[in-house]
Amino acid sequence: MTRSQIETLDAATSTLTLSLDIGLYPRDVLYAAAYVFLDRAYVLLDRVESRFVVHFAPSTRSRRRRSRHGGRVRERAPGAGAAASGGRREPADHRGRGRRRDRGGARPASKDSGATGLEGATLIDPADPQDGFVADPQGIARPWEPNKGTE
Amino acid sequence: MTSLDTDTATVRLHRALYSEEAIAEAAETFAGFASFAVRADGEHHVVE
Repeated sequence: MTRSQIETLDAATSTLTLSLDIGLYPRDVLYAAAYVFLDRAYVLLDRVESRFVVHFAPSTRSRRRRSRHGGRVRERAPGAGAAASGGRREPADHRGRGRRRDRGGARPASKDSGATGLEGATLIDPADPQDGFVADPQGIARPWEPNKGTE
Repeated sequence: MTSLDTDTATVRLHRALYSEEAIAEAAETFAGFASFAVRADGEHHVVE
């Protein structure tokens, strides 16, 4: 068995199940990663023998947002990612929405291409410094070298 | 999640990943919307 693996991926329900080797993914990292997605998905953590099993399902808010944009994810909900980025947030406009950038987003599935409709889905926006993994509020991506005194 | 119908849901939460305190706190948060029963079943907490 591989160290990490997509166990199930259901485009019809937009659900995903991953399994991860517990030797490679400490529990704190699992919590931190799950936290990043809380504004977009329901995340259920489980453990089966020596593997973590992670279930993702889109949140109601996320489904409404995709529906409004014809299947494309174009913007996050107000405050989305703020908690994961240590509470930092861009100024909101008069409707309480922060400034947004067009992120492209997922494209609707083509009937004949075999596409699932999840290609290019913007669960994480690498161009957004306030988005979870990039902002790294937990300090997970901190280089270990300074602590070890090797570099 | 092990089951779901219109009015009830059952969730199995692994004891190594979800503390009983956290479950109780979550149940308290949503006490106005639903009632919760928590019991142990092997390695899992079962929340109904």
